Order: sequence, then C-alpha cells, then structure tokens
Amino acid sequence: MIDSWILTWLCALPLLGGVAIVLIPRERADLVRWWSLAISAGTFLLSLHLWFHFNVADTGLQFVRSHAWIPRFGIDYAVGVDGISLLLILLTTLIAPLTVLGSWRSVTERVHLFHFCLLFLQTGILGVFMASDLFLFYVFWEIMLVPMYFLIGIWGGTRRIYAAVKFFIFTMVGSILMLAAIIYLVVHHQHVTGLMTFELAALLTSPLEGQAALLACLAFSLAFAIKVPLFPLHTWLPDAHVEAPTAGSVVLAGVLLKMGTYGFLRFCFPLFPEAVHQITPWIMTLAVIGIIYGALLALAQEDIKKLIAYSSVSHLGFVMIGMFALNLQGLTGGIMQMVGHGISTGALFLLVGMIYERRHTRLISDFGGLAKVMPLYTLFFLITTLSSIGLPGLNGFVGEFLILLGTFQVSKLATIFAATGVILGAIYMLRLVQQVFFGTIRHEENRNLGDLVPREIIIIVPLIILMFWIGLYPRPFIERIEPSVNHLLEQVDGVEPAPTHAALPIGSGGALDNHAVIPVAGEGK
Amino acid sequence: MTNWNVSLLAPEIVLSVCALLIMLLDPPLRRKRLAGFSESVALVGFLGALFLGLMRIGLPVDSSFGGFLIADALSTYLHILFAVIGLSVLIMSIPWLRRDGVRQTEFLVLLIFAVIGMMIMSCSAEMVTMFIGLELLSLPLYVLAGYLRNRERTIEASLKYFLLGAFASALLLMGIALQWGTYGTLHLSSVAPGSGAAPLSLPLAAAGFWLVVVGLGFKVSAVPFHFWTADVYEGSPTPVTALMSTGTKAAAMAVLLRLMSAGFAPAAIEWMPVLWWLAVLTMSVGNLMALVQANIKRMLAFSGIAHAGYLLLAICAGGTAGNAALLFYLAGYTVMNLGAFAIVGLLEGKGERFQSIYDYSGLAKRNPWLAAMMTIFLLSLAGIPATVGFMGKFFIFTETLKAGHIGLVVIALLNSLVSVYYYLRVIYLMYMKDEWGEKPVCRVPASVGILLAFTTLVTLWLGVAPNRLLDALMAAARIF
Repeated sequence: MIDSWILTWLCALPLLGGVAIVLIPRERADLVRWWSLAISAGTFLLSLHLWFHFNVADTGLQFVRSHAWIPRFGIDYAVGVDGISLLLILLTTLIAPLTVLGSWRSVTERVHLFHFCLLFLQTGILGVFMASDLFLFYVFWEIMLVPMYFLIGIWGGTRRIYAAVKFFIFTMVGSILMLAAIIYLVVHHQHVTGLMTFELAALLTSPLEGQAALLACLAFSLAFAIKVPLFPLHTWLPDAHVEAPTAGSVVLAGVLLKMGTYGFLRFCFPLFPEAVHQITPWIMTLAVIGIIYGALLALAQEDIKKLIAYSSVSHLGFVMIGMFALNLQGLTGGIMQMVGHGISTGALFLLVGMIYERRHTRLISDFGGLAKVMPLYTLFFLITTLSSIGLPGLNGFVGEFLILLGTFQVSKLATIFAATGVILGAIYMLRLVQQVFFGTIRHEENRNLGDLVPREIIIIVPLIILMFWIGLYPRPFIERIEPSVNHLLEQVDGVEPAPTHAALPIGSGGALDNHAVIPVAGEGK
Repeated sequence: MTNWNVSLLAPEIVLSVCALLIMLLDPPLRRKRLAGFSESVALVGFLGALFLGLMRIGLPVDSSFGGFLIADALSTYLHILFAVIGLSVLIMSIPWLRRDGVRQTEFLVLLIFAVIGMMIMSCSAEMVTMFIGLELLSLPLYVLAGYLRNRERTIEASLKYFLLGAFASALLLMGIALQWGTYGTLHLSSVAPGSGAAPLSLPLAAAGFWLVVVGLGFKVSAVPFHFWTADVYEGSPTPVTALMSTGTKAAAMAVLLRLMSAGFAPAAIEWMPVLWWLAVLTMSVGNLMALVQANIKRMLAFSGIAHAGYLLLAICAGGTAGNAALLFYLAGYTVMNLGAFAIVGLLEGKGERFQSIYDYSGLAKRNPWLAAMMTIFLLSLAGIPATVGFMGKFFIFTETLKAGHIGLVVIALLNSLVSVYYYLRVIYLMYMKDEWGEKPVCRVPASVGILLAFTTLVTLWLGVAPNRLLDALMAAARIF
C-alpha cells in the first residue's frame, strides 16, 4: 500500500511544507527554520523506506505509480525508482536537512522565502529523479531552475545576479532543445504506433533511426552536458557555485549536477543506443579534457570555494568517462562516483560555509595553521579531502577505481589521462589542506577562531560516516545499482549481460566477494 | 428557412441594455450623489453576459439572422472569455477612475460597447457582420485610448491608433469587397468555392484574401503590422491597455481562425508559407524588441506581439487539435496578461508615474504578495512549467510539430528562450534589487485583490490540470 504512494509523498511533502511557510508569522524566523528542518528530515526518514524495501533482484522500476494526467496528449503522472535513481534520491533527501542546518545562522534575511525556495528546490530535484514520463521529467527539470535562481540571486555573493542569470539561461538553452526533441520523439512514436504517449517505456519501443536519432540524441545530450557540466559548457558552474550561498552550493554540487549525468543514463542511453555509440568518442574526449582542465584550474585558484567548484568539473568528467565506457564497471563506478562526489563535495562546501561564517573570507592566503585552533574542524576537513581525492577506504575511491577499471577496457589513452587527473586532484586538494590548516598562524584574526559547535558537528558527522561506510563496505550500494545497470546495458548494446561475479571485482554477488573489498580498503589504512 | 432567433444575441443585448441604462440614468442620478450606480450596472451587465454565456455551453450549433450569426461552441467559449475580460477590466478600471478623478460614465459605456463588438466578431459567420463587430470594438477603443485627453502621450496614442486602425479597417473592407466580387458570398464557410480551381488562383480573390489577413493582422499586432502597438499600449490608460492586449487580440485571432480553418482551409498550401513567415517574424521581432524596453507597458506590448506569434503558430498547425491548442493558449494568455496589467495598474500610482521597470525594484520587500503574483504571471508568460503559459505553449508546439513544421517549433522554442531574459529581469528587480527613489504607496483594493487571486490561481491551476478546459475546447475547435 505504502509502496505505491511513497514516491508521490516524497516529492510532494517538501513543496507542501514550503507552501505552509506562508502561514508562519513574519517575525518568527526561528519557527521557519525548525519547520523547514522538520519537513526535510521527515522527507529523509520517509525516503529510508525506499532503501529498506528496495527489491535488489528487480531490474525495472519499483514503487511505481502511474496516473493519466493529460490523456489527450498521452501524458501520465508516472513515477518509479530503480537502482540508478535510488541512491540519488536518498542523496537528495539526506542533503536537504543538512543544508537547512548549514544555513541556520548564515541566512538571516528573508528566511521565509529562503526556506520556501530550498524546499521547492527539493521537490523539483526529487521529481527529476523519479519521473518516468518525459513530460513530467521536463516539468521538474525546468521548474527547479526557479528556486535555484532565487537562492543564488538573493542570498548569493557580490556577483550573484550575473551568476543567477547565467545559470538560468545556460540551463534553459539546453532544455529548450531537449523539449523539441521530446516532442519529436513522441510525434514519431505516434506515427509509428498511432498512440500518443510520453511514457519512457513506451517510447523505447519505437526507436528513432539514423540522422533523426543522432540529432535528437544531441539535443538531449546538450541539455544534460550543460548540467553535468561537460567541458566547454562548464562556464556557468564556477560562477554559480561560488556566488551561491552555502545551501545553494551544496545542493548544486551535491545533487544538481547529477541531474545531468542521470539524464544521460535514464534517457539518452536507452532512447538512442546507436547514436550514443556514435557520440561516445567525442564525449570521452571532452570529459578527459574536462578532468585535466578542471584540475589545472583548481590548482590555480586562490578562493577555496572556487577551487572546489573547479574540482567538480574534474570529478564530473570522471563520471562521464565511466558512464560512456558503457560497461558494467564503468557505469557502476559512474553512479558510485555521483553519490561519492555528492557526499564529499557537499561536505566540503558545508565546511567552507562554516569557516566563512567565522571569518567572512574564503581566500586560502587568509588562513594557515588552523589545525592548532580548530582541531575538530581540521579533522573533518582532512577526511573529506581524502575522500574527495579517492583515498582507498573512503567513498571517493570506490567510484574512481571502478571508473578507471571500466574505461581501461575501452580506451587506455583516456584512462591514462584520467589517472593524471587523479594525481592533479591530490595535488590541489593537499595543497589546499596544507596552506589552510598547517604551518604557523599567519593572521591574528585566526588565533581566536572557535571550533565546531554541536550543530555543525551534527551536519558533518552523517556525511563522514557515509564516506567510511561506502569506502569500506560498498556492497549494499553496488548490489542495488548493479541490476539496473545490467538492464541498461542490455538496452544499449542489445547483448546479454556478463555474469556479475566475473565482471565486478568489488562488492557484488555472493558473500565470497567480500574479501575482495577488505584488502583493497586495507591498503589505505 | 430564415431563422431570426434573437436569443443567440442575449449576452450582447443584456450588455447593450446596461450601457443604455448608464447613459440615460447616470446624469440625473449623479446630481443626487448616488455613487456607484454606473459601476454596479456595468458589473451586472458583465455578470449577466457571463452567466448567459455559461448557459449556452453544450447547446447544439445554431445560427440566426439568415446565417449571419452563428452560435457554436467556439462563439460560446469566446463570449465567456470576453465577459471575463470585460469584468476584469471593469474591476481594474474602477480604482483607476477614482484615483485619477476621471469621468467614469462614458468610460464604462465605451468599455461595454467594445466588449459587445468583440462578442459580435466572435459569433459572426459572415464578413460584413464581422466587420461591424470589429468597428464596434475599434471605435470605442480609439476614444478609450485617448480618454485622458489632457495628457500628451495619451493623445498621441489615440491618434496613432485611430489613423492606423482606420487604415487597416479600410484595407479589410476592401478585401471583403473583393471577396464579394469574386465569390458572390461573404459567408466564412463558403467563400473560396470548391469549383475545382485552386481557391486563391484568381488574382482578385487572392488580393481580397490577403487584404483581409492584413486587416486582421493589424488587430492582432502581427509583425509587420505592429508598429502602433507599443506606443498605443504605453500611452493608453492601463485598463484600456489590458483590454486591447487581451480582448482585441482574442477577437481578431478568433476571426482569423474561423477564416483559415473554414472557408480558406483548402487554400492552406498557398497561405501557409506566408503565415509561416508571419509567425516567425512576429515572435522574433516581438521578443527581440521586448529585450530593450525599460517601460513595463512597452515590454508587455512587445511580449504581447511575441505571443501573437505563438498563436499564429497554432493556426499553422491547423486541425481540430491545433485549434484547441490555440483556444487554450488564448485563455491562458488572457488570464496571465490580465493579472500582469492589474498589477501594473496598481503600482503606476496617480498620474501613471511609475511605469518604468526600475520602479519595480525592491517590490518584494514592500509588497511581497504583489511581487509573488507578478512573478507567477511573468514566469507563466515566459513559459516555465506549472503555469498555464507553459501548458499552452507546449500544446501549440506539439500540434505544430505534429503538422510537420519542425523548423517553426525550433524557432519558437528559441524565441521563448529569449523571452525568459526580459521576464527574469523584472523578477530580478523585484527580488534582488534594493528600492530607490520615490515609491508609490500602494493599497490593493479588495476587488482588485480578488481579481489577482483569481488570475493567479487560474494561471497555476491550468498549468497543472488543463484537462477539463482542453476537453471542452476540443468541442469548440470543430469549426463549422
């Protein structure tokens, strides 16, 4: 019973909660924060149901709910979750309460509107991850721009307007052409079958061919590539990430970018299998350029937030090459890396927000020797950094390793370049840690900084736990992802999937494989 | 077999009676200081017309006055739409009339007659009747545009509107005459006889047809017949602008729809390329010009031109579903535009001083509700999902693509991308900019508040649940 309604509630709850904020009196900002926390925490608890009741054996969509919405155009309200979207949904619901907590003190103006936007944004993102009807997907995809625009534009930094408009217009450019492609797909389907429907599963039965498929695939890819962002479409990202308030940056980096990579998996791959093979070399090339270019730019940044923003370009390049390797390891690694990046980069932005609240600067040169005054903060930052650069035993490693493994089978050259990116990643992150936390205290202002308060510890600890959990014992995650990935590979290649045991060295399958994880993780200890 | 069923004209008759009542009784009553008399009569008139329009829903197609008038689902729908427009404009104009201390009797009478003109256009099955409706609509509007006759801009607007409007009417009339000369009939359904020859092959017939299109193109402000629009919208009193941008456009678009999808449908192959270009030009010029406007009314004027372009797209799509998409978009466009103009009217202040978009700076802090509603209207105009603007565009684009005009759809989509920029700019000013300079004290009268709440809710509701209206419009879209 609850299974058929849970996704709808999950998606609607934040929005309803957000609208209810209207009822809270203007001067009760504290009440708004508590309310917003309650709603987002409630959504998270509700989403745990998905984790526990997810059927690992099922390759298709689960918790499905489908209703006719606009029958005349064959539009359904259709939602469902599979292994690809499950973790992303959980990531979204987990990050939401953390962002609320993270902006507890830093947002003091127009608190009502802020939390409305935050909750509205959550509804939009969750909708994107669960929609299985293209129209519904597009609605969520577009609508989430509006709260994000407000978040960046009202509570952002000095160049917030520029960043907000750029973010909006960039995303819109892609999605407009995607809409054209969606309508084209549907009209094509109608010509072939006589039925009009926007349901993804139905549209798969009448694939486009040749030039049309390539063009439609490119239209979809453009929308997703902008979101990812793939080099050279990434220029909106540093602006948006840097100017956004902490909550905005966390959601952007943690979840929003994954909408792009998710879009490739959910729509591009199954809808246009042949065209995807055609564009793979190009995407691979761009992704590799993105990895190196993002890393080099990160190396040159003076602003901590900007550094992390460019590191996202690099990391998402990893996700892309993993996915476009089009094999089990690469895809699974890509999804693991999406989740891993969401956790570690989300944590990094939260941590940067905490130090910014204290010092109102983010320049690396303004810090130094923080380890002496903020030991706990330093510890958390260090763990997160190590997770971000893919130290074995932490979450970043799992994704990165699988990606490199998958890519190696397809293109050795790409793997070599990507591995260079890993090294560069270690360089810029460790340089950051070294200059901010170690050495002598160069600025007197830093001498009296307070360490983390309980609220901040509560924010960061769940993410730290997850980093270790995924890093040490990724099996529960991988076994949820794998069946859907296999299913996806079938759709893309039309070939029988390889038996999972042979294919995946980490995690999956029977208990025997467990020992494969432990030594790998042990190396890092 | 002539049918003289007067009841088809019931809404028009009720409105006419009300207008006459106001004219007759207002002067003696005013001396007795019976305030609010004419407003009440006008209100009753529009409510009555709305009611009578609603009563016609579901009745079979009927025609009257020797087939000059037709009462089909389309005309019923448009009657309801025009009654709503009249009602909304009335609600908007009352605070404005009080605020600027303008004489209201004539204003109300002219408003009512203009709406009657729209209604007659919507149910005319024949060109001369249509022309009479058009003139009944236009003449009051020429006066209304220049209603504040001591203001320079208003006079300019009125004169410009009158001269160009009269010119367009003349072209239209010439076109009608040529039609008559060619076919010997002016019924919309039977012009362009199916005698085997291509309907527009005769030069005279073609000339007549295109003159009619130009005349109507002027009223819907299609590019290149749009030059009057921005100046007239800017100079006219805001409630009148609202009436022009919604009512006039809807009425002319409805006639164009009847014309193209009834009598001239067989000639589609000939007019399609021209209409294609008309649509592209109208969308593109409207959107590009709107980008550089600093006056909110001018911006909405150009945005209205762009929206006329989207409507022309639906005519290119054709077919019952395409027509339904057009009618749906008309409803959506009307609602969101009425809402936006109602807010513009509230904020402009006495003497209409605050019409620059920069006067909207910091509105969200001064008046969060107005800012929120304006945001919804603007997002809807921009075509962001969960609003009627998105649904309408989506329906039109889908139908156009179905009809095979992929290029047109891509151009239209890119256009809506451009439009996002200037709508967002107003939102940016309202929310992200601090207020500066002198600002009007803005009290929202209860009546306008209700109007705004209604338009907001409809904008959102039709953006989420368009089914019932869409189904009803499928019936209305079966023309003749």
